[in-house]
Amino acid sequence: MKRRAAAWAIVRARLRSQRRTLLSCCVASLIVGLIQPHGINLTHDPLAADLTTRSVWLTGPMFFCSLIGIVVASMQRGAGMRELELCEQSAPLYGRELARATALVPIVIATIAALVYWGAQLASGFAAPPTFFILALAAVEASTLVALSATLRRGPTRLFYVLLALMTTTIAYVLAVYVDTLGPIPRGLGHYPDALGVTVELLFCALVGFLALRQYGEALARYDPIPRG
Amino acid sequence: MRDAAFVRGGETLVAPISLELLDGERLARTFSTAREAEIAALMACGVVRASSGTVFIGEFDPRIQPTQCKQLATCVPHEAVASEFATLDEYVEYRAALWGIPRAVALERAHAALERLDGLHEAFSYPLAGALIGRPKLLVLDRPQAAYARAILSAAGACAVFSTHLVAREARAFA
Repeated sequence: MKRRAAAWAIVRARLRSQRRTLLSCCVASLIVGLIQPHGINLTHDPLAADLTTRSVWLTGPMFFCSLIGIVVASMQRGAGMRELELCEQSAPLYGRELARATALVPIVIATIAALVYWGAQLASGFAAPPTFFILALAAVEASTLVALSATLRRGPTRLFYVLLALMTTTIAYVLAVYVDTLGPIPRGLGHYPDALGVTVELLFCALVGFLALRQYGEALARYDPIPRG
Repeated sequence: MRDAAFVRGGETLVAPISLELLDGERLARTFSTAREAEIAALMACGVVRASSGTVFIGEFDPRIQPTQCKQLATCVPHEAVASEFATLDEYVEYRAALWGIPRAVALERAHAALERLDGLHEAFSYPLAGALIGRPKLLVLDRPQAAYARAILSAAGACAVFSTHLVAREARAFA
């Protein structure tokens, strides 16, 4: 109960501190969601049509909102957050508890941004089916969690984690778009042609997200919040 | 602390320090740079782990039992904090949740501390009042304002106080 109260306090304080960032992300998502091209070229090949449709449904929300998640995750530590960071690090909390609470903040912001993006697409008369929105959201959250580890590192290692986060989105995209085209639909899934791609992508994102959060918790437990020189 | 040093990337940021502070004692120490003073203060309360040497807070080693150390010691940073919060109550509620202290108890303790800190600007008194809600055994002050030494030490009460400074004259005010 106490731990949950601590997590909630951390999330509220950080969200209050980053309210302008949240607003900027929502505005950016709204604009990009509204202006994203929706057109699909005429094709008579069902496979090409399927691939194009999936890629149009996923490219915008997945990559743009992942980028938002990565940027917001990178902002979780630094000059602007020093006060809260020191207070949290001084509190008698374990690294994993602190990791879960601080990870919730970019996740919340990225999720809101993704919802705004989806809402903007709906408003402009085009939106992916809910399943594809969930696929995009899963990729956004996995890449955001990977990017969080970058905040605890400096120099090339920091860049490596940002690249890893971008790679997570790319792999999730490839899985969601192409897995169903690799072979015949498994028996019994005839009515659900996207089932394999959806399952594989969600499993991949869940696994990457879980490992990233665990790794972030371990790194946070060893982290020394020393001032930058 | 015994020969506690902090090294990062081959650069010695804090040279080995040895000091001992018993219950209720006070110790003020000068450092050559603000960064060194800040890291030393964070090391003294178990937030930053020493690269070499040993640090014990009570019977606990911050490398092995960080949460127990953080229950005993608390740090007040040099920078004016609590600007993220509109009121003292909001700030105290935040800290109370982090330290697992009932809200009412935390508010009562914070207001009691604030009364003793009369005259200090909110930016400095709020963090100090917030730090004292957990009834720490050791209060670590990073470069506190010497002009308010009497009020700060009075608010600290019976807990041990370790402060870092850049100027010897300021350190004397807290010794």
